[in-house]
Amino acid sequence: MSVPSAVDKIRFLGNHDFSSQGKFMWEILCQLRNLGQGRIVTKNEWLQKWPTQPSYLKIVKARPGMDRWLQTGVVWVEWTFRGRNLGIYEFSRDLHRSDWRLVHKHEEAELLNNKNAMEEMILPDSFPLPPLQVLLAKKDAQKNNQPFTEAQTRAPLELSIDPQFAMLKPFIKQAPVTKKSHNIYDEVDPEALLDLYGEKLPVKVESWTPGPAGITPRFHIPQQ
Amino acid sequence: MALVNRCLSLSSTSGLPLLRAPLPSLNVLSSRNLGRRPPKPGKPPILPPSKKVLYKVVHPEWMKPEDVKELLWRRHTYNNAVVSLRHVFKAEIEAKEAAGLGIEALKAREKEELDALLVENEKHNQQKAQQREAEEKDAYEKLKTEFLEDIEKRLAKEEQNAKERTTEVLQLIEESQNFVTKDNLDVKLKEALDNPIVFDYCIDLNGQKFPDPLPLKYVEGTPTRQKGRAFDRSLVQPRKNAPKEAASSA
Repeated sequence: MSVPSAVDKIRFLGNHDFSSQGKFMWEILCQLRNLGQGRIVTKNEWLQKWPTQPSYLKIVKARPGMDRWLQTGVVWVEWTFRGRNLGIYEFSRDLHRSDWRLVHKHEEAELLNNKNAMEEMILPDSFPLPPLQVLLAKKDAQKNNQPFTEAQTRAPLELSIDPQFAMLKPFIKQAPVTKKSHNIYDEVDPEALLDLYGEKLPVKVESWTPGPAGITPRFHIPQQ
Repeated sequence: MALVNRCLSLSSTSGLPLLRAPLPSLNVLSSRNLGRRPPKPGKPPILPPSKKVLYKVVHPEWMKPEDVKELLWRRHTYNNAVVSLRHVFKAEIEAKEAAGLGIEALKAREKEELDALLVENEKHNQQKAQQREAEEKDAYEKLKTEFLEDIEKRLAKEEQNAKERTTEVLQLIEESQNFVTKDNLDVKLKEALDNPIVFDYCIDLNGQKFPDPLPLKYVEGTPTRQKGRAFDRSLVQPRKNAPKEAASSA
């Protein structure tokens, strides 16, 4: 006769993370002295995507959520992403992905001395307006007896950066366009944008929502 | 129940599903089949998912790597452009609003116009109301006088009628003295027979009447022997003397 426990009522849902090749963050940190303060941790995903550019987290403070599976908690780190020091960041969400790798002390020098850094991503300053828009603007200008210049066929480009790339905002710059055309796709360098994804591209493109990706909860899912 | 049975029997005979709505239990008469269109399968989208479906994991379709590569960078460009366009449109709308062409300004102007029109309409209504009051008053007065006149006329008529009838009645009462009843029938008959009246008479300027035929008293009992020829002209066709007299006169 087995004693019923809370473990029996838990069901794990979803696909398991098949692209992960590492350990859970807390699995690593809880086995280190001082919860890994001062140690360096990388993600295998970063190593595979940008093998030449060093990306790592230097643990400043770790506060585990005292759950029995070591899945939750907060880590404060100094994040160096693709050779650029982004400062102190709080990591509290992705820690249950088992993709983390502890950098041993004898391997630290290699990472820290690697001076390859991410180049700034240059995107255009302006974009050509859609032809219908231009036509209507011309008509409007004619109606109000106002001049319509070539510059009015273009508008300033506002960037829509996904939340996953929000930390790269200081390195995304806009510059005036060299070769202008009527097509927005002709004015952009695809390689600059694909550089965001590195050498290991994702398997599918799911969302196409303009503006930052977000979740709109439709139904109330009770938390148990 | 009868409705469900009939529907089932119809579908079985024809071989085609007439009502495509699912019937989970035949014991329950579903009122959703009474409309002609069958309901969509599954739950309506507004309802939250049931507990079983809540954590269902969806496996998306596989995409070709070339397509993924293209779409990745194009998606960023497209999103940038769309977000910028939104700003452009917003700026346009704001410029319009500032110039007074926006919806708010339009609404305000329309409200003003409506208020003015309402005031005018109120004034007009009041004028009409006053007019109507005056007219109604006049009509009322007229009607009143008409009714009163009518009543007066009727009363006068009735009075007149009453007078006439009283005179008639008095006359009749007087005449009833001479009425023939069962009692004085014999007397009256004898009187009539004794005083025969002939209306076919000539009259001269002196007032003397010449009746033709001459009035004859009725003789009671056996009549005497005929003395002379008595001829009643009213029993014969009148002689056609008029054309002859006219011809003779002409």
